[in-house]
Amino acid sequence: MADGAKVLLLEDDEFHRDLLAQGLEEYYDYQVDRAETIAEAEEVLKAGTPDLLVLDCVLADDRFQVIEWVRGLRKRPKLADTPILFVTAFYREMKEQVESIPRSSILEKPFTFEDVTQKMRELLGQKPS
Amino acid sequence: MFESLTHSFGRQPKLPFYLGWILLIPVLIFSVWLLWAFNSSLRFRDRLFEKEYEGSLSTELGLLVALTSEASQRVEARPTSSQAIQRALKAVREELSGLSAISPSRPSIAEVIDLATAESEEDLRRLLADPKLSDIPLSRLGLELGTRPGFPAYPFLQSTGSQGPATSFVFIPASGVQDGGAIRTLSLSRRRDLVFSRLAELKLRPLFTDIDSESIVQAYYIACSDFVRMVFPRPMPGPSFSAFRSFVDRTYFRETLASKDGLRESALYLDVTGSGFVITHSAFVHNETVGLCGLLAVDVKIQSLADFWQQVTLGGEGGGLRDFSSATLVLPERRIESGSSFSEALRTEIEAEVKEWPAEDLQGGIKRMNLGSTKVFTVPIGGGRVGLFSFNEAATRRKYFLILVFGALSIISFVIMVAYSASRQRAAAEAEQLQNEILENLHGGFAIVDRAGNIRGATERFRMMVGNPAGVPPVEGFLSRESTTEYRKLASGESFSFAGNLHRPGRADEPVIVASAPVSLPGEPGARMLILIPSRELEVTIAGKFLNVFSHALKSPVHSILLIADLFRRRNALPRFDEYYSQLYRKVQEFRTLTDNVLRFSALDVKAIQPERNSVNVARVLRQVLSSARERARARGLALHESIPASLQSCTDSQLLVVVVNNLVDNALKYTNNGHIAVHAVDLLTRIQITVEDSGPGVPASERDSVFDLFVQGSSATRVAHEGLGLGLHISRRYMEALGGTLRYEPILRDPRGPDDETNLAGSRLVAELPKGG
Repeated sequence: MADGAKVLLLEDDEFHRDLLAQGLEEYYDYQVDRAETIAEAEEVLKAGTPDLLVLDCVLADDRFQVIEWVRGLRKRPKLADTPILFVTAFYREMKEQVESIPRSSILEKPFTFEDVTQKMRELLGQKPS
Repeated sequence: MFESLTHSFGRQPKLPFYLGWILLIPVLIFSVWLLWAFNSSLRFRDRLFEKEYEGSLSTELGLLVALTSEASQRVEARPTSSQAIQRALKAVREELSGLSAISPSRPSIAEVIDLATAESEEDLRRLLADPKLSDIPLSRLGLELGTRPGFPAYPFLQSTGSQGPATSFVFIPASGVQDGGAIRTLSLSRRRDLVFSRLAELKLRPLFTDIDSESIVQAYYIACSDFVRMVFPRPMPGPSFSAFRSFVDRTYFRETLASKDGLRESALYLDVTGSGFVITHSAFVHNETVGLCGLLAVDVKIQSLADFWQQVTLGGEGGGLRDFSSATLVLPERRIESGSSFSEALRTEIEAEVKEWPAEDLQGGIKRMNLGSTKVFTVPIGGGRVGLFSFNEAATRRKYFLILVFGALSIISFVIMVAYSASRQRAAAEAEQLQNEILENLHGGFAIVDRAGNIRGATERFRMMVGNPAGVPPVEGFLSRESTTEYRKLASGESFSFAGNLHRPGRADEPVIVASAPVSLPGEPGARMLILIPSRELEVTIAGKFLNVFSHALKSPVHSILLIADLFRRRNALPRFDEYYSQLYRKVQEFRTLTDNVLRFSALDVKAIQPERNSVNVARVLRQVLSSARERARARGLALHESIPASLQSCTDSQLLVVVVNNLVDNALKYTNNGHIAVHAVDLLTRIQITVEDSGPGVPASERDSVFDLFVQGSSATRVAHEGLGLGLHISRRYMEALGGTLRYEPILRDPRGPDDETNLAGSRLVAELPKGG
């Protein structure tokens, strides 16, 4: 299992955010820090470096906001290698963009808890259980 | 090709020629006048050139000798005004009454008058009634008359001008002229359509005091009386010299200059110098331009003037004036001050010029020599040279200048006209070609349809599209049945377009966009243009776009449902069953609303909305919708206010109404993150007003027009991710309209008196008004 791995979840839809975070914490033993906006995500990062980032690609119709922010993150020494999971409903459009980010993966909505946790384990280098 | 269309309706571009016509008409008039004037002057010249006369003419303007050959002719210009004639005759009568006392043998006044007015040779002969005169041509008649005993009038001078020739008669009283006396001349000339008559007194005065008067008189006698004689081959006696001499003491002719208004008068100027010059000329002044024609004799050694004249007429070594036939004189314009003496000025000038003539030029045959800026043709006579000069250049020049100007103008105007019309035609042809190109290359077929729906003209493309290149059937022949109905319904109005189908037998219908607009064509009221644009690709693209949006919109509730459903199977799911269930239920509702809207939307255009009206308690409908919305509002942390009366009756379709209210509330919930939603319903007697307010970001004024459009989901300024397709408000409005009501958007302003901009927006208000019906 996750062994309490720390996750930053950036998702602007409240329902989805709460649902996913709740599930990951209750049933998959992750510690999830929630963020609705990039600003909130930065607050979380200040507090400490997570083991994994789970990011909604597209916030509020701005397709490039998150990707650009991530490119900036990769330049920071602490976050250069942190694995990132992109989740999005706009799979086709965002796939190319995401491929240029090292150590990242992309998952299309809708997905189940199985789908998402498998991806997360892969990124964290753990064998699927 | 497309020509069939414009040609079949006979429309050709018009080309106005205003510019060209305006210039051309006066030019034509002038040309006609020119021809007439030229012709009349030609006729005159032809007369002068009649073979009976020795000494042919070189120029109509000047040859004095030849002119005097006309002296016997009647006045060519026929008097056209009887009043003028009467005036002239009256003057003549007066004169002759004075003279008649002198010579009893003079002809009667009546005779003279008649002679003066005879208009033709026939006339003249008849008047004279002398059989032996009948064989004599008119040209010699004057001579005959002049020799009649006692006939005092000598045709003396024929002058000419642009108005035609004139004849002057000299009346020399038989009793002679006293010292200081005068000779009277009567000139009858034609000026336009008036007979210009002038009775002049020509006083005789000496010009040069160093010449003895005997010579002058002699010269004058010879000149005057033998004028006629010299030009006629048959020598004729004149009045006796003694008779002449007895009244000629001093010789001069008064010259008269034209008045400023351009009247032409003529005077004979005779100068006998005895120093070798003989200058005679007739001067006329017209519009301050002096015209002179003259005879110049230089260094002519003559025994007598008679001898001189004889040589001049019959020819000397150079053959005489007969050889001047082809000379053309171009002469300068001379302006001479009024009141000055012709002779002095001219004589001085000629003297100076002639002195320059080289001696060798004075030998030999016909020579052209310079006289000032004039060229003079001279012929050796009597050891000297006789030259002829005439000038009336200015008028000629003016005339030719005018001809040139008008000619140039006419050519220019013609060229302009041609070029203009050519360019207009070219422009029209280019425009037509462009039009044809556009129509032929249109991505679609173009045709003209008449009121009955028959195709009157069509492009190639059109024919190919409807699958019948040979002939094109009326609209029923190629549109599907629904499309034909649709076309017929719309064709009575203005322009329209709709998505329809082409029907092709044996093949599947082809989707097309049918566009049509009225065109005005002469003789074809109700004609329309018809454009068919293949729309299969378009439909695929649009469908693709829609499906794209749709699938994205669906993903969100599906995703939620998946995750929730997943939670149900977790170990501690049971205690939280209710929680999970209500979440699931909400998401399923959203999903349902979404798919409902899609289905409704697809139904909207296929068939008209047909409300089923019943008596409905609108208040109850509202409460039902709100009851399910309450949960959602609470989950989002929004307050839900309502003020709905217990009962609001309307005759309406409750199903449609539910959709509308549901969409309005759904919309409010979607866009409001914090604050409240309020629903009010009010009875406004004839209608019920339902208001849904929210405290969301509101819609900026610039976007309000498109709030009810399809696929509009809020401005980027709000930056809120949301669910949905942008169908809800559109459908709501369509349904409200079908129910006979309205739906509108109003902003909620924080400060009602403040500006309507984003700083003052506090929310949105959607107002639906439903008629009570019944």
